[in-house]
Amino acid sequence: MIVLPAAIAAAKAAAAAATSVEFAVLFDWGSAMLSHASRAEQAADVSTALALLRVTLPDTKPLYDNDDVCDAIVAELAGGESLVLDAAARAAVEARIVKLYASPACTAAGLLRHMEELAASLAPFLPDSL
Amino acid sequence: MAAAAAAAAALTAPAAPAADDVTRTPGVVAAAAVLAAVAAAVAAAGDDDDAADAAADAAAIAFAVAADAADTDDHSNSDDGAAAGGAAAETMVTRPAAAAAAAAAAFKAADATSTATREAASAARAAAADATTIAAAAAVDAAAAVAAAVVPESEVRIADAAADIAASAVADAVAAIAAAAERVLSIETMLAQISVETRDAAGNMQRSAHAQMAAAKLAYEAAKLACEAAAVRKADAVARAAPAIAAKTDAAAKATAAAARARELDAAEWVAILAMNSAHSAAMAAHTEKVVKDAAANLAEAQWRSLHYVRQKLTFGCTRIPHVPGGAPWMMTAKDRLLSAGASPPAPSSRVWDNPSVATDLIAAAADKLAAERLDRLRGILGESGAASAVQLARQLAGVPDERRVEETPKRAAAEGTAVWAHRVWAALAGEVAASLGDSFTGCIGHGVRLFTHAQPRYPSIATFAHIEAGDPRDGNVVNARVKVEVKRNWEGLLAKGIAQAREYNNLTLLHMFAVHGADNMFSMDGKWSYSVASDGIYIFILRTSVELDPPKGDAFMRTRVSPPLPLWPADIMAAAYPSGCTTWPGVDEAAAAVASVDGIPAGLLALASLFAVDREFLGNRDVPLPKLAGFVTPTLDGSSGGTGTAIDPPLPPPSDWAIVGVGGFADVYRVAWNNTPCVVKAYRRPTTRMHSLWPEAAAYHKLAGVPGVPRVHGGSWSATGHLRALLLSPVGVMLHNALPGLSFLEQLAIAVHAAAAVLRVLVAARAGHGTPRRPPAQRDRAAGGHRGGKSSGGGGD
Repeated sequence: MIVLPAAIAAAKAAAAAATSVEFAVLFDWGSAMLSHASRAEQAADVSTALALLRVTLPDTKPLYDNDDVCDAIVAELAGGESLVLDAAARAAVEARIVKLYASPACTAAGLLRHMEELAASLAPFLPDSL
Repeated sequence: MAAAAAAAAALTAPAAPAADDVTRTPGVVAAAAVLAAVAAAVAAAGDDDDAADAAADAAAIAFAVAADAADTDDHSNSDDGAAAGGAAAETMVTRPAAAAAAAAAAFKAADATSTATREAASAARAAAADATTIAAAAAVDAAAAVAAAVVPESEVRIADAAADIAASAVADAVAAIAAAAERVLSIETMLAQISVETRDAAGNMQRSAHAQMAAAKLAYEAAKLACEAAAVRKADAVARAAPAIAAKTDAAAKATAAAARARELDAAEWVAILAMNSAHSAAMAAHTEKVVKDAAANLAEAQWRSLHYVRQKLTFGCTRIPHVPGGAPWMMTAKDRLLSAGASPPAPSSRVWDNPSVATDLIAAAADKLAAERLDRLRGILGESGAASAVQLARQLAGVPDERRVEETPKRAAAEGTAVWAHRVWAALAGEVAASLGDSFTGCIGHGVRLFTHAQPRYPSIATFAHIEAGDPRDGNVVNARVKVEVKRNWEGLLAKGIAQAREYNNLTLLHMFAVHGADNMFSMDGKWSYSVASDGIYIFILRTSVELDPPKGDAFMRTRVSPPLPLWPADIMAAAYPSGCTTWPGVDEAAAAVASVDGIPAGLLALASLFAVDREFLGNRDVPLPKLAGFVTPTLDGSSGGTGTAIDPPLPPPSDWAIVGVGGFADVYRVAWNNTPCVVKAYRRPTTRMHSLWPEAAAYHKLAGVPGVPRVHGGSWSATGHLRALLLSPVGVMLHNALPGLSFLEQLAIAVHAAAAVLRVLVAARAGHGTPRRPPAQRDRAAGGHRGGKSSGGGGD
């Protein structure tokens, strides 16, 4: 379970200041097996992290393949979000998404670098309402 | 066992009183046997309850163990969990069978008792009959003896009389001799004094006297002989009469004794008969009790099987939708396809269409909450003129051709050239209705509320909207959702999928009810129903899904009553929304007309307001078993069994003050204020081992202390068996899924990416040296089995 802090606005400010954005993380998968994880387990962590992004997709699209998820996210960005993002910003975000999903990383550390880049590019869009 | 022992006691009871001389007579023995048998029957009946209770307890324990195994294993091995669940089901099935067996044992004991009693009574009656026969024979013998004694006794009396006569004759003879002697003496005296002539005469007289005396002596001798003969004859007669008299006396004594015995046995027979009647009554009572218990056991079994079937149907109703990460596309049922094709609704067995009472009962129940002032405010919703008001949005939506209406995505609405979509209309309507109700409305309206139950951890349902009992709309869950709402873009979607989804929300609520209360308790639990709504922003269907019992048949079944489509808006908007009409099947208009509108308030709007205002109890069971936790202590996490740390200060508020915020695969999460800090309590439902407890998670928190984003552990609660059962954590945040609804795609993506980055950051930090907890091979195997990331404990599944 991922638990976000009550005040994401603070996280957004931190992101704007190029400092670390902290999210409270409460999880119970693999929580007691943080070290000495096998390669397969670390690969599962990567899959889990990527699966988190699927929650943003419309409910009616059953997507199981990472490539499909990547395409769907890009398509969404090219659709309604084109009203919000200018072309350059959208291209930057899309490039980082493609890079993220194309990454051969199979460890948390390997994926984190790409995820951090994407997070930084999306930090301005963290909502103030939370 | 107890019943069998009682039956054995009943069978052996007649022998016991024989040790007492007083009760050795057959009748008394029989009576004692019968009384003992009655007592045994009563004891058997009493023991049967104990046996049934013991059987029920054993079955309940077996079920608890099996259910525990099923629930505990479901996060480690779903197949094992299913198997354990099946075992639990089998175990539960045996419970009524055990009760029936106990009842049968009781009946067997009572039957044996009755048999013993009947045999004893028969013996008593036979004994009485024998005694009567003996008494009659004795009386006959006595009569014969009396008759036989008559002749000897007569002879004795005759001999006695003859003896008396002879004696009298002897006495007379003696008297005559004495008189003759006296006369002879007087004559001799006189002779001495008289003359010769006189003497001659006197001599003649003397001779005569001598002759008389001689005759008297002869008479005496004869009388004496006669007397002796009479005495002999008397003695002989007495001797001859003595046996007859003795026989008579003996016969009379025997007859008297036999008569007394007969009277005694007659009384004993009555006692035996009365006791037999009592035993028969007891046997009949035991039989009746057995019949009643058999019927109850059969009913319980039938009800349980029915409820089990209902639970399966509920599960099926929630799992027929294939799980898709991040969403759940809805499958259409054949019935839904028929409906979407414009056909008349079929006559389903479990779904009652066009049931106006669903709405009328609801409106009646909320009537006291909808005073005139609130009805005025509700009516005022229809007169709003603001562009963002619900009625103007509805008017705008009605102006969009129904095939082009959009459900929820603003950008799609923009692409369709409209700035309105069904969710927007409904959100505005729900907000305005809630505001019109004043303090009759409590809680809030949640959007995209995840209905998640540990009974179906892989298949959460996401209600479009829900009226929840929480201050924060993101805190909605299956427990606190009063009314669940599914909104579709138009009428076709409403019939094709919306009603099925709304029913699924009810199914899931009921399934969670089964999970937290147990199938057995569903028999007696009140409020086995749930309400949901399906709407396209124009019409509203109200659904009431219930688990109902048919006691005479021992049947349980699930039924969903669907109201007719009720208009939310005035007639002009309704006509604009569906110019050619859409409620085309027979009877629907009459059913809708049965739900009266009130002074210009459309029936659908009135029903919606009633749903928001009605007492919670009307909407179904809301009980949530609170965790029973021991006091929280500062966790030592040093490898000891725990529970020995210092009690946290200040102590935690009681569970009754906690607010449930989610249920997960193996734990529940509650919001609680502690030490002026918003915290959560995460409680493992059934910890069984160290690894199947919160220990691994607490160890991870401990090792990761200081890593950004990792919650802080303030305390832990340990079970009696030494397992870490609950954790007190802070800070309190918002669950990812609950934070996303209502946001744009870009905002959702930004949050999800940052959350994923946070997770990765924690993992990297831990593996860089922060955390060094080792785990046993079993845990490694489980993790490699593909469960990582697939479970959550607090309403996620993230």
